[in-house]
Amino acid sequence: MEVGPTIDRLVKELEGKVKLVIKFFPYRYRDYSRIAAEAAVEAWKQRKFTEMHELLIKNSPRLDRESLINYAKKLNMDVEKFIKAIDNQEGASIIEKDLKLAKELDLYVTPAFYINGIKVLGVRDSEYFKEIIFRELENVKKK
Amino acid sequence: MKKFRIFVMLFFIFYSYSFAIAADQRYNLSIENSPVIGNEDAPVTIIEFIDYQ
Repeated sequence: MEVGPTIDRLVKELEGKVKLVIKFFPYRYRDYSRIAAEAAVEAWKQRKFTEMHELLIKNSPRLDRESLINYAKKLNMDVEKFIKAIDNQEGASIIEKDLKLAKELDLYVTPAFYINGIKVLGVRDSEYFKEIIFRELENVKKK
Repeated sequence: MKKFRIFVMLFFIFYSYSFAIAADQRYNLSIENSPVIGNEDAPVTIIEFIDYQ
């Protein structure tokens, strides 16, 4: 759970230069992976994605249904709508689309990153990411 | 024996060559219909496949 904060901190630090796009890759055999992804999708629909994303990373692995509902409350989300969404798996089409993509890419570990299309697998420190990001920023400048 | 040495040499040439290709490979992934954190127009895009648990 170290990588989430690393990359999120980098996106803040390099504000404006880097954007983070999230694809959901919940492991099938973990208890709360899927429902946590559902919670994130619903938070996105209610325009609270960044906040929920941070809460999920910070509080992982406390991601059971009751905890997720508490996070939604904390973020002043429409809780009734939130509960309905996670119980009925309303984010399924988005999550399944991402899972299909992960399968096509032959991914079997998280986190997996694509920085301007360059694949980085597994946990890395921020210096590693920065090196790639700065090289990409240089390439943009040259163009 | 000479044949074997040539074979080994060729093997290493192709082996390192394939690494060079792999390092340059860029994947073109759609970011449509996925949540974004940060500036939408940022020059660098990081796609993260995440499992929150």
